[in-house]
Amino acid sequence: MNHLLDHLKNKGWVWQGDFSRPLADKRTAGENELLSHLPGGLAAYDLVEIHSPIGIGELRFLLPRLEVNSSDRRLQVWIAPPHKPNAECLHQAGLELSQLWVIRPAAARDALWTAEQCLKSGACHSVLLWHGELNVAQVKRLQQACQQGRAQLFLLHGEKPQSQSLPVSLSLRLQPHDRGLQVTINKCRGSWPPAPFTLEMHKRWPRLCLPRCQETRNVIPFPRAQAS
Amino acid sequence: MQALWLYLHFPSLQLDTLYTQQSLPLAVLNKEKNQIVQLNQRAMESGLSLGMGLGTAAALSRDVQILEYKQDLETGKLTEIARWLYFVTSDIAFCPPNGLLLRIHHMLSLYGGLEGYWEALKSRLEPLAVKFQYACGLTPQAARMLARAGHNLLSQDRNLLSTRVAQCSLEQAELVDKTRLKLSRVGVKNVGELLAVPATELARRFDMQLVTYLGQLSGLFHMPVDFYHPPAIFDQSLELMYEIESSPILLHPIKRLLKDLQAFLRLRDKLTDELLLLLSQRDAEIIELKVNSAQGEYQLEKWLELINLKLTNLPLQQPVYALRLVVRHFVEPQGQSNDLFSGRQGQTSVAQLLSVLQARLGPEAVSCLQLNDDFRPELSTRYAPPLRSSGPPDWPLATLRPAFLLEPPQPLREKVRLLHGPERIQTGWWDGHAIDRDYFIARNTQGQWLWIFRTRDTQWYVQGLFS
Repeated sequence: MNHLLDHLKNKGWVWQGDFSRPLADKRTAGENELLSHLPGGLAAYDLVEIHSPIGIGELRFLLPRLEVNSSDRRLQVWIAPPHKPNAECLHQAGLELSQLWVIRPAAARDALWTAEQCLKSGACHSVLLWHGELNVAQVKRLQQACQQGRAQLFLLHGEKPQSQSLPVSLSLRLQPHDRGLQVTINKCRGSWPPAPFTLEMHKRWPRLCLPRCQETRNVIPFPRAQAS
Repeated sequence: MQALWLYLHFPSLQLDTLYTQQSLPLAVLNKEKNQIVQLNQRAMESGLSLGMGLGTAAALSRDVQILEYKQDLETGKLTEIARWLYFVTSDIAFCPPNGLLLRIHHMLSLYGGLEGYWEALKSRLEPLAVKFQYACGLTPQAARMLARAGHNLLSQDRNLLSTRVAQCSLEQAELVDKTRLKLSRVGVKNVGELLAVPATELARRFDMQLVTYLGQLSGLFHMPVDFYHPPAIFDQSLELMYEIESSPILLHPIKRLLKDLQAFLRLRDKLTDELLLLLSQRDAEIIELKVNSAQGEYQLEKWLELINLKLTNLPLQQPVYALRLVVRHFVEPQGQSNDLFSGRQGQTSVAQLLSVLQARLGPEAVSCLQLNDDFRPELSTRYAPPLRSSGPPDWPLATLRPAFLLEPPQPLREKVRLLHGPERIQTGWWDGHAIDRDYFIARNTQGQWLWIFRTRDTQWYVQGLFS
């Protein structure tokens, strides 16, 4: 019986609650804000799925993680970004530009292939993939590639949630918020998802947050003449 | 030191180097003479013999495959063999179309005698799987005559070699038919008798050609020999017996070429980073396939993988009948060290990954970002080829810029709230792309952070997204 259980465990077919495959580097500098809500931060998950509209701060959400990841001098690869990445911004954010590749494949099928190659090569620490809907088999392949190459994959989708639940390690949804981002965790492997929380960003990006007091209106009411 | 020569005669070179199964009876036909010049084993079994005409051959065997004799093909193959043998023996001369002449007396002390030398040579020849006949001789012409007669003689014994030469018939000597007839009429039966005749007597009765030949045969005259020097490039072609229409099948013959390349590179301790594969198509242009690897490689598997990726993107319009692999550029191998303790499992290096990606996606698909010293947002970022690092910028950078840039800027069509700005950028008057804009950071109702600008004529555009 035990023998059978061991066999299944070795094959990875039985999953235990305390079982998690940590990445080599679990340093989490710069992610304090996130850590208080999500134990272990993003480092504990190798395949992270992010549902977010574009332009609300989804990259700012990932930047601290990417910065820590890039400390081992491996590559980070952006596959099929929706627009041209701006080198000035990324340089300011502390990323090494020569260690960042932007890959623009012609077809969506090639994008998945590229992601798999990069992940399993062992030459990349993180892969950011902008892609539409994926199926379970594709995600499983990507997951395996992540483990093979000790890399982290961030899957960025549009806002529309997937029709089915994918076997990703962490699935979260980002929504705009006045002070940063509203984060909803749909699934995180190994524990119950924490309650939705607000990620404050005004410390690092003070100019990309709405001012705290909402009363600063440009329109000043014209002082009416007192009737009496 | 006495001169000693070895002649290698390849009787069926074209047939042996054809890429095909040898289970069919095959014959090579010389079109001008209408003579069969080469046969494989199956064809001989079905009753064909050398020198037959096409009609006779077709009558004897119904399913014999006839190929046209191509001399340039054989010459090319001969060059390949010479290149291959050059690693064990130094002085090689061509005797077109199907013979190689080796000057071996210099080599004997290196290999400790004729046996050792022959072993080394044979171990080189055998993997090529071509039929060959060989013979030693005291002169080039003597070795050639003995080898072509099929003596397969290996000896340093001067007496034995002279006797064998003397025993050769006139048919085996390379004489003009007319001369041969004349000689037999005066009662000369073999080469020995011919050599016994004084040269002055011969010169009076026959032409100079015979005298020269005999002089070269006996060693009286020197025979000019041009030795081979191998070129520094790899260039090998492969003729296919049948036409191939699908690219996956094409990989099998390519593998054979790559195997030769691997041996070629390994012997020289070199790597290459670029292959040129030429596919000859039946009714279309030759396809030139350039396969690059960012890291120098020599191994068959690595190149095969890259070529496979290239081929998957390549639809073949016409069947392919011949392949050619050319490598002109070589690189020195470089040591590469990986971190021992990080326990990394993926084994691909950055350069290897780049070549794999570029092979499938095209060379432009993979790029790096580079900063450019320009205030115009369109020009401050540019794509650059990867693996080329540029130093940190030595000009001041703006503090807050969006992560994504829209190319080209889109007109602003929604209600936004301006939060910061304006920041005026007015530059570029010198190169015809002048801009004069006031930039603002704005937020729209969906919560997106936009980087928008207003032109001088109050048109509003979105140029960036603060992702």
